[in-house]
Parts: sequence; structure tokens; C-alpha cells
Amino acid sequence: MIARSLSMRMPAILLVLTALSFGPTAGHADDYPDGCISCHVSEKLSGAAASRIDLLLASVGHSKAGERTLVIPDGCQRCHAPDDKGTATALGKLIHVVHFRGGAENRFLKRYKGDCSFCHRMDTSDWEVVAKSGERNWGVKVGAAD
Amino acid sequence: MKERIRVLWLAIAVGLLAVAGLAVADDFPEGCVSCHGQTSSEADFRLNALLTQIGHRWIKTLKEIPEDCGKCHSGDDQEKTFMAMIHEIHYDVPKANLFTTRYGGECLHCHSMNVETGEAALKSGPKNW
Ligand code: HEC
Ligand code: HEC
Ligand code: HEC
Ligand code: HEC
Ligand code: HEC
Ligand code: HEC
Repeated sequence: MIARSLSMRMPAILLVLTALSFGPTAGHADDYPDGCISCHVSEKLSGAAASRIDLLLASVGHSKAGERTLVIPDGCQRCHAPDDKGTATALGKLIHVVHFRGGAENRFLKRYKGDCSFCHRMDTSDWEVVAKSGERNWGVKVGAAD
Repeated sequence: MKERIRVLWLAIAVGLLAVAGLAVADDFPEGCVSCHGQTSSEADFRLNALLTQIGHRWIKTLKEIPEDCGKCHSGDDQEKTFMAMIHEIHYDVPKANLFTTRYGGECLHCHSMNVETGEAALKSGPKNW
């Protein structure tokens, strides 16, 4: 649906990201076929590579529900429902903000130039865009005592 | 499905973004119309010209592009949604598609991202015909 009314809510500072074509990138979007978990692989919280998502979520004080999720990011939507009617904010907005905020300081922009295709894929059967998804790359903790 | 995902339509989406310390101008600040222009008297790549050549009518009266295309291209009852149609046109057969070969196939030629709210939007602008 083409929602005209929404244009009224345009905030004062609107940054339009541009397609950038300078400098080396850390890989091509196709090298990350499963999206989040193809890129977030480091066992350490700080380092050259992006850290595993369970570690990142723990570091910002997220509940263990993130860690228990099997398919990333699809399973996260049981709380972060896309229509914002779940118990938590829609995942797209949260994930966009953490990957695009902060300008030059942001490592996703710096290393990956903010390319949407690291996370998204065009489904050529119906031309809808989906978030790439895959099974978590950390040990199963379901049932383990906290 | 349509409710699931929201796209903001921007009246004017112009901006600069400093990435890695460099300010880069957006080559297509108004999306469709910024790219679909008249490059010479022979090469008219404007949407009114293209659409006329594929037998499309009723495009004279439109004002905002692509917002006003939605006056007819809305709802799921059509064979194809506007989104599916426009995505397909620009991404089908990538090896031979000018949008990917010549323009790099960037989502951000048509879309914009609000880095404060995390909401993705569609650029738009007044018709250029
Ligand atoms: C191609 C690499 C790449 C992909 C794909 C990717 N990320 Fe990230 N992500 C990063 C980088 C780099 C950062 C660090 C950004 C910064 O400097 O703040 C980051 C940061 C984060 C954070 C940190 C939040 C915080 O406040 O510190 C979370 C959570 C996160 N990503 C989740 C995800 C999820 C979920 C997905 C899939 C939908 C995903 N990422 C896909 C590279 C990636
Ligand atoms: C049991 C419900 C639940 C599940 C499952 C869940 N979350 Fe959350 N998440 C929350 C709540 C509640 C908040 C805080 C309130 C908000 O932002 O809506 C939150 C906040 C966040 C934030 C913002 C953190 C910050 O400090 O800025 C990120 C990023 C996030 N979740 C990512 C994820 C990812 C990725 C997954 C899947 C691996 C996930 N969440 C699974 C409930 C959940
Ligand atoms: C780091 C991963 C990541 C990147 C990079 C990313 N997205 Fe997303 N995006 C997501 C996730 C996760 C969702 C939520 C999944 C869903 O709704 O199916 C989402 C949802 C969306 C939505 C629907 C919800 C909304 O916010 O309107 C749109 C549109 C969208 N993305 C466009 C883009 C565009 C355009 C870019 C590039 C400028 C981009 N995304 C970059 C992860 C990402
Ligand atoms: C950055 C440049 C660019 C932008 C932005 C762009 N297009 Fe295109 N468009 C192209 C190119 C290149 C082609 C030709 C594709 C091919 O090789 O088949 C095309 C083809 C088309 C066609 C088919 C014309 C034909 O002859 O069959 C239509 C319709 C169209 N675009 C509409 C749009 C709309 C609507 C928008 C905005 C939502 C848009 N375009 C944004 C570059 C662009
Ligand atoms: C007054 C109604 C109306 C408006 C306004 C309109 N269209 Fe259409 N369009 C149609 C109808 C009817 C069809 C044919 C049936 C269908 O495919 O849904 C069509 C078909 C198309 C097709 C497919 C043509 C083919 O044969 O493959 C494209 C591409 C298209 N429209 C693009 C646009 C664009 C871009 C705009 C805005 C600049 C626009 N239309 C505005 C009614 C309209
Ligand atoms: C040529 C212009 C163009 C390009 C390039 C393009 N899109 Fe789109 N996109 C559109 C149009 C037009 C819509 C329909 C918006 C509507 O109906 O509100 C759309 C809709 C979407 C939607 C659904 C929003 C909704 O409200 O249903 C998502 C998600 C999306 N695009 C993501 C992407 C991603 C990711 C890329 C790059 C891989 C991309 N788009 C490239 C024009 C484009």
C-alpha cells in the first residue's frame, strides 16, 4: 500500500544513504549467503570481524531469548514482529539503526558500505525482498540451567 | 503482507551522508525521475516516454513519482503488485539488465534509509514531463 500520510512524519534530520563506490570492501554481499550469521562469526566481543550475535546481545543486556532462537533473524520475530504489534520493536528498525547510525564510526558502513544486500535478498519468484536467514552459529543452550 | 512492511514516501529526499569521513552526494536524490531523464533529443529515458512505448496510457496527469503511480497500482488484487513489477523490471536477467550492469543495481537508487529511526523509505520527486 502506498502510504502518503507517512511522509508527514519525516524527521528534521534525514540522511539519505548513498550508494558508495570507493575503497575496498570486506567481501561481496554474496559471500554472506545466510545474512546475519554469515558475518557475525567472531568468538570475541571486539575484533576485526563482527562478533557472534548471542555475545553482542548479552553485552547490551538483552534477555536470553535471543540466544535461544534457532533461525536468525526469522525466529527473533516471535517478539520483534514486523508489524510492530509484538512484545518488542519491529526487528527491521532496530537492526537498521544499529548498522547505519553514527556515521564514520560505524563499522558496518565503513567496512561494508551499508550495502542492503548483505542482509537482504530479492526473491525472484515473486520479487519480494526478504531478509536472508540461517541457523544460529552458537551452541544449543535450551534446557541448560542459567 | 502489505501491512507487514511499511515504506515511507518522501516528498523530497535529498541528503548527504558522511561515510568513513567522506561526504558523498546522492546521484539520484529523487529516485525514479532522477535516473529516468532526457539525456538528448534522441534518447528520452523519461518514464512518460518509456511507458508510452509499451502501450501504457493515463500518465499525463500524474504529479509525484512514483507516489502517484499508486493511484492505480495499489492493492493486491492486481496480477502483480507495483513493488513486484518495479523490482522485476530492474533486477530480472542481471547480466543483461542495464540497471545492474550500468547502475550497479543499488537498492539505494530508489530507496532511502532513515538512520535515526531505522525506517526504510522510497525516494520520490515531481514528474519531469
Ligand atoms: C556483512 C556483515 C554483517 C551482517 C550481514 C550483519 N551484521 Fe550486524 N553488525 C555488523 C557490524 C560490522 C557491526 C558493528 C557496527 C558498529 O560499529 O556499531 C554490527 C552490529 C550488530 C549488532 C550490535 C548492536 C549493538 O548495539 O552493539 C547487532 C545486535 C547486530 N549487528 C545484529 C545483526 C543481525 C540480527 C543481522 C541480520 C539481520 C546482522 N547483524 C547482519 C556486521 C554485520
Ligand atoms: C522473548 C522476546 C524477544 C526475543 C525472542 C528477541 N528479543 Fe530482542 N528485544 C526484546 C525486548 C523486550 C527488547 C527491548 C525493547 C525493545 O526495543 O522493543 C529487545 C531489544 C533488542 C535490541 C535492541 C537492543 C538495544 O539495547 O538497543 C536488539 C538489537 C534485539 N532485541 C535483537 C534481537 C535479535 C537479533 C533477536 C533474535 C536472535 C531477538 N532480539 C530476540 C525481546 C526479544
Ligand atoms: C544488517 C542487516 C540489514 C541491512 C544492512 C539492511 N536491512 Fe532491511 N531489514 C533487516 C531485517 C532483519 C528486517 C526485518 C525482516 C523482515 O521484516 O522481513 C529488515 C526490514 C526491511 C524493510 C521492511 C521494514 C521497514 O523498515 O520498512 C525494508 C523496506 C528494508 N529492510 C529495506 C532495506 C534497505 C533499503 C536497506 C539498505 C539501505 C536495508 N534494508 C539494509 C536487516 C537489514
Ligand atoms: C539509477 C537508475 C534508475 C532508477 C533510480 C530507476 N530506474 Fe527504472 N530503469 C532503469 C534502467 C537502466 C532501465 C532499463 C532496464 C533494462 O535494461 O531492461 C529501467 C527500466 C524501467 C522501466 C521499463 C521501461 C521499458 O522500456 O520497458 C520502467 C517502467 C521503470 N524503469 C520505472 C521506474 C520507476 C517507477 C522507478 C522508481 C521507483 C525507477 N524506474 C527507478 C534505471 C533506473
Ligand atoms: C490511471 C491508472 C494508472 C496509473 C496512474 C499508472 N498505471 Fe501503470 N498500469 C495501469 C494498468 C491498468 C496496467 C495494465 C494492467 C496491469 O498490469 O495491472 C498498467 C501496467 C503497467 C506496467 C506493465 C506494462 C506491461 O505491459 O508490462 C508498468 C511497467 C506500469 N504500469 C508502470 C506504471 C508507472 C511507473 C506509473 C507511474 C508513473 C503508472 N504505471 C501509473 C494503470 C495505471
Ligand atoms: C527501481 C527502483 C527500486 C529498486 C532498485 C529497489 N526497489 Fe524496493 N521497492 C520499489 C518500489 C516502487 C516498491 C513499492 C513500494 C510501495 O508499494 O509502497 C518497493 C518495495 C520494497 C519493499 C517492500 C515495502 C512494502 O511496503 O511492501 C522492500 C522490503 C524493498 N522494496 C526492498 C528493496 C531492496 C532490499 C532492494 C535492493 C536489493 C530494492 N528494494 C531495490 C522500488 C525499488
